Amino acid sequence: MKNVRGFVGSLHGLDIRNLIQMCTVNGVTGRVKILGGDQEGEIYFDRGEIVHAACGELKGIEGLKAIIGWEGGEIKLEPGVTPPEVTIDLPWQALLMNAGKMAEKGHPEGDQEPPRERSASDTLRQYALYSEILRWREVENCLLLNSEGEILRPSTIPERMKRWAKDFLEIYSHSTTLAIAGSRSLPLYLSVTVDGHHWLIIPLGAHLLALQVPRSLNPKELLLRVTQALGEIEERP
Amino acid sequence: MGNDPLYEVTNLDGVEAAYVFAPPAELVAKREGDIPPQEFSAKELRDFIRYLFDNGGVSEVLICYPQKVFFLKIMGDRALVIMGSSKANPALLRVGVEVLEHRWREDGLNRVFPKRGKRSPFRFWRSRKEG
Repeated sequence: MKNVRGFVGSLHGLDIRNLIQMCTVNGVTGRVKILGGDQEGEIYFDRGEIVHAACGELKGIEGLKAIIGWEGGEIKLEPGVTPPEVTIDLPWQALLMNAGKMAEKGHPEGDQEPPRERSASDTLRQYALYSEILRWREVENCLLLNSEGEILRPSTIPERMKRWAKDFLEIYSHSTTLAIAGSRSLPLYLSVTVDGHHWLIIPLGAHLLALQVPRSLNPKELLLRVTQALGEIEERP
Repeated sequence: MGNDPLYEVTNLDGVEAAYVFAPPAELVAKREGDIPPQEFSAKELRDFIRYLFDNGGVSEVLICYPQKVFFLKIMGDRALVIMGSSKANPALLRVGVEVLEHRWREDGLNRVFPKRGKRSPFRFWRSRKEG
């Protein structure tokens, strides 16, 4: 029963461009096989970017163009499968425009507030970490919260973010009581979509760090980066 | 692939169980894979789902524990809950669920996952008789 690796399903009226968007927005790495009638096509993704496509003799953008024209069919998603060659080196949005009509959905970022620059006079390492993270290009917003629900950084935020911060604390609190497995019941990280915005919540001792990031970002990579940054801050004199 | 709408969900790598809830926190469908799910508190889960249905703004929650993964997606007035091991790939999980959700919505979520309260009208008569 468990011999299927990945996901097998039918497109059932789902547009192939939408499927591509789902894979790119979610940062998929692997192969998507599409069976449309007697034809077979393959699209390879690397962290959400299309790197190769093949359909019969056609490869690269030509192969992708051929696949995008299909309607319906069966799909098989195989994570981690690497392409035999790299034939595409363009952002996926440009590819979809090039290969057909621009996908109907908008960009995942939505309306964002620009990150705020804070003074670097804080002595607490979480404050230093917060300031450091604000410089990261992929982080659109950053909140530092304590366990009492107080927003430590930034000092002033819009009302909707205050509401989100309350949600994050509530969800984190639920996550600590949800799993029954002793010390292993504490989460490493949480990923929350609220009002269409994507946030990564990282517990840091008595604090919670909430980062608004693109949905395609690999949370494990960001978690590692945060841990490394924290380590570097601790080593500072 | 069988008639169970949750069949494909439990066939995803690392997924051990999938459940569907209706408000306030009524279990309307479930499927557990070959490997039983690692333990989660049923009471806490219902409290959490009740909170999310009331909240309205939160549409998706993924919680990564050292050895397990918990994924919850609000789809209209249904909540899909997936429990799995750390083997589960979050990106693949999301894409798989998005593809299936598209199909479920086309078929009507309330028809694919009907509430259990919609039982035979004779149940009251039967329960009075049994009581």
